[in-house]
Amino acid sequence: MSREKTAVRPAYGKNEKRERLMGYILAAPAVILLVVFTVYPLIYLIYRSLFGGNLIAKDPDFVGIENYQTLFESEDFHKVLTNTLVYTLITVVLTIVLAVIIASWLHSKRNRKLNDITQTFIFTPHIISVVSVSTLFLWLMDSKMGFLNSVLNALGFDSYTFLASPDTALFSIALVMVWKGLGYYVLLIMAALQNIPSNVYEAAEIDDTPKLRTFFKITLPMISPTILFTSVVATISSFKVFDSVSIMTGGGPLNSTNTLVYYIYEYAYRYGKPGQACAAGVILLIFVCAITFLQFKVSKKRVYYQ
Amino acid sequence: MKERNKVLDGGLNILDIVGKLVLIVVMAFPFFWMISTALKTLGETLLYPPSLLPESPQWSNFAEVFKTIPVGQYLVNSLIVCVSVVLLQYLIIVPAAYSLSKYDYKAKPLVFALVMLGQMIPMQITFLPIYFMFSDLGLMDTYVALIIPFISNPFGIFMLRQYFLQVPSEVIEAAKLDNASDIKIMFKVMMPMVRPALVTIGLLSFISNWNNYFWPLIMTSQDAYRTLPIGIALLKDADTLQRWNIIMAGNLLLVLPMLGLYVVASRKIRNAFVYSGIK
Repeated sequence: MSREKTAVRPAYGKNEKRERLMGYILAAPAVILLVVFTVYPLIYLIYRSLFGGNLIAKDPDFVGIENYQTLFESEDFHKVLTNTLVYTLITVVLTIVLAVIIASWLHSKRNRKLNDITQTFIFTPHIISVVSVSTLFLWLMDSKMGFLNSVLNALGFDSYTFLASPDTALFSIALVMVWKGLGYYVLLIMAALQNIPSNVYEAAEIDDTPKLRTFFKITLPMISPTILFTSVVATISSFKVFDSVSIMTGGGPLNSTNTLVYYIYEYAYRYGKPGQACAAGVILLIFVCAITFLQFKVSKKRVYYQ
Repeated sequence: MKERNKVLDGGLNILDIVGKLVLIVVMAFPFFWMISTALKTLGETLLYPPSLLPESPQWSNFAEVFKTIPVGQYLVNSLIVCVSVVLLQYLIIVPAAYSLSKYDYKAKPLVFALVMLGQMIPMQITFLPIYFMFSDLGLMDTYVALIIPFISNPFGIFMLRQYFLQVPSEVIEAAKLDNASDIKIMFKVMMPMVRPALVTIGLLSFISNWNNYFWPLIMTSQDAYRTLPIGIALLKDADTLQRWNIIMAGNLLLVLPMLGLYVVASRKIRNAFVYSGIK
């Protein structure tokens, strides 16, 4: 009798206590690691941003918000923020627009087998190291010897400067990262397209609604939650761009591709100003929190949910 | 009229095929160029306009990579880090996910919030404090520094929790009647039921650790602990002559294992990434 009872309701009396304790014990290792590698660093980042000193000094002096003042008065930092925002805007808009178009195209019933092969190829760069993708495009985009310019020349165009000029370098890096990341977003949007119930389209088919209208009036609203989500993911991943900048340009030419994380890295390790680097880190943190918060807000209001 | 529609449709079909082939070429050509360059002679890489294929493949370029940088050491380090992260993380994330799905306690929402926070905050924000911490502890240039920050994989906890929630509680109750301990139930009963999730998590973390550049760049300064992406990036700087054939050969060593994995398990990998994106 009592045995049956425990079988139905195990969380009972003494058992309940034990159960609770076990819950804590099992979660403890992960909790400790997350506190050590996420919570503590966030707190320390904010704390350290209020101090001066260098990488080696044990007791840096308290400087209050001086590091932030220095940042906002620095023209370099303005440039870095602008670069990061422009880069993010180009990358996110290009990626999402292309991904929606390509996903809808590959979702159509025409040439199904080819659709699958195309999707396999589009996704490939996503699992390749940014190191190799960046190095490869450094070679492809070489302004004198690169393959891309040889194609442009063969078609009768002048050579493009790509990474060699401050006017085109940031855009070139954005193009490379769009190429690399596109497949992932196509994949996510295709998954959303596949989840649209087919009966939604039946009414439109009966009315003979033009395809483009169906796309804008039915398909797009139905996948809007995914578009929002992918935009947020793309925005955050663009904000933290580092590897490609570090390998392709090192922030140059003339600071034209210096972005926020690269700036933080350089200020900490090259210029030995960890306080200022941490202050810039706090600004990145604020950006990431703001975007995540915005996602929550917007997704509650505007987006169509079934 | 019908005849005209048919012609129009045929035309559209050809356009559709051509468009998709162009897309495939755009995605695949850079990889072809990497392989082609890696097999050229130095002289061939200096031709402009470049030749599409090497006259005869220069396999010795790969040997030249091994002479320029200690690739073997980098490769071993990469494998040690990737395999350790993949295996050790299960010891952390399986209990955490099990706790979050099948136990009741007061701080559970807080633990869950912590996991979500971990998922939200990128390492590009937390790296400096962790660098200071590891410096103070003398952990710079160690495998520990490359492995530990990744084994609490918040995405893994989140995904496993979803899977555990779907396992009916009756299964656990039945095991409890047999007097199985919590730990035994977790490893012997629950884990086998969520094998697909474990594979997905393992695949994703292997791929991301294999490709990781940012973290080992900050945590290592000696060849003894550098991983392959760092080594290959150094090759570009180490090779002062900018021998693109050698640089591309080196990069192929970094790329080929991933391409091989993708050829073998393309659908599985894509499904894993879909899951990581949808949640």
